[in-house]
Amino acid sequence: MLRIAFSVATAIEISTAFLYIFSPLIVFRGGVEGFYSLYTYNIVFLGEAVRSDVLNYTNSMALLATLIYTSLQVLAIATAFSRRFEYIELSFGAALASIPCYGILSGLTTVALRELSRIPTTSRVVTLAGTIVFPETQVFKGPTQTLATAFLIASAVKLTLMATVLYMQLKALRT
Amino acid sequence: MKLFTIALYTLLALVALVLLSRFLPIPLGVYTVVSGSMEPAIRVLDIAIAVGKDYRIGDVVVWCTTYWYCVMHRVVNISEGYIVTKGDANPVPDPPMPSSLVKARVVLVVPRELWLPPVVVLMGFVLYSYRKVFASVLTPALVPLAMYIAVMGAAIVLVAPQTGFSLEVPELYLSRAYVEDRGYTCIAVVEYLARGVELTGVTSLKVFNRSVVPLHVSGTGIAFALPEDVALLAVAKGLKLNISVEAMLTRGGLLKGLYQVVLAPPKPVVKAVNSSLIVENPSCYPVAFNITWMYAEAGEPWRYVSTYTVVKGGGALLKPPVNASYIYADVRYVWMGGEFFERLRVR
Repeated sequence: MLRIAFSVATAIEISTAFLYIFSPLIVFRGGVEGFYSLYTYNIVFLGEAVRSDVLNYTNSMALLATLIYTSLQVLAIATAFSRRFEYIELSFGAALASIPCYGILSGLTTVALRELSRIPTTSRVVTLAGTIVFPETQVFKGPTQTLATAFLIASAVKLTLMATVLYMQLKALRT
Repeated sequence: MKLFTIALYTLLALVALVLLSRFLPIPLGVYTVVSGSMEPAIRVLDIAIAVGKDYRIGDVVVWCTTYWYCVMHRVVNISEGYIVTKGDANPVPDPPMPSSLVKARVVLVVPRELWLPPVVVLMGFVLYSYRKVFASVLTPALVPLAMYIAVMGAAIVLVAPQTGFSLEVPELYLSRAYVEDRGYTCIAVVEYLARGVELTGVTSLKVFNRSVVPLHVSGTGIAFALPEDVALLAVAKGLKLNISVEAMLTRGGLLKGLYQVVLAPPKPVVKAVNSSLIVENPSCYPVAFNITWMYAEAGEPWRYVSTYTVVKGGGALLKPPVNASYIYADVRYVWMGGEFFERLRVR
């Protein structure tokens, strides 16, 4: 029963992780149009498409981190049902990968936000030519923060369940 | 084995140097290239060694905005306190950066073919040599976690980007505003220096709050004919032309500018030749002349006739309105804020 609960919690956690990287982190409206998510981005700055190595990097790293993490979670679910203690240990180790995965996604979010903050959103510029007014840009935050919290909660539940499985397995071994 | 140890320690020292150079305020650094912005001169995965801050236009420098965010591009312009760099393969230069951000000048580039194979061999040898230690440390629980951290760590470090946006921020500056003297017509021209933006149309164009129609609107300039009465008033009073422009720009922009143009027309010349008065004003700015003709026959009193004429774009030959033995002309005109009077003997 515990193992099924662990599997369900892991599946929920994986879904949350994917929602985390697919959902927009920031949405721009106005002079700057578009969105950025950890999976992809499409930003147009005053009619010109924005290309950034840093944003490409955060996208590819986030996808890589999530894919490897997902494969490790699949491994965790697959080995969780084994009776052998080594496999349970392996399952626990794979389950632990959600902690660095969360750290990596948070770090990439910070890097992306720092890069995105370099996009000029000021609509009024004064030069020798006079006052130049461009369309104003409104910046909206996406649901990523909420999904990150959900991911953390799912990880905590999953790891608690896994730790319980491990403890019970140990107890069974001793008796 | 001794050679291996030396190689290993050299590698570790190099890694330490690479890491330390990021944090220490010294003009020295070892950087791995991860973007193709400097190709073909510097390729992805080449190692660049940067030393010293003595750089000129054409040198490749490394500038860092944070410890981790560094850009390795060629210097294309140096002005007071700022430098402009550009990747060889990039179509546009980077925005101007404070020169204090320059970490060092690239002095040596180690091609990837030279350093990658020995490092890979060395790493393989290290793993093989310490396989028993690794096996005892890596319990089954730690294997997946260690794998994940190792793979992600390597990916994050190796693929770390060194270039940011290739964003063309629109810039528009006033180049000059002047009046072109075309003899009979004064053409006022406002020219801009523009980057990433152009004028598409003029919504309002005024001279001294009087609307005028533009003759020509290009991407970087506006030209219009100066109304005659405005030119006459400006030259008479010695005023600067006040031009206000409201224009639409590409990329959804709107420009509101107010410019002043100093006028410097040549002074009119008045002279009497062959019983006629010649008024010369070669500029396009009209000047109004009030002429009082004084004439008399011998032994008769002086009589007076006043005439008014506006001259621009050349000269005017003025015949006396009456025929008499003695003719004088009192010419009065206002020019650049001053009143001028000349009395000439015409006959």
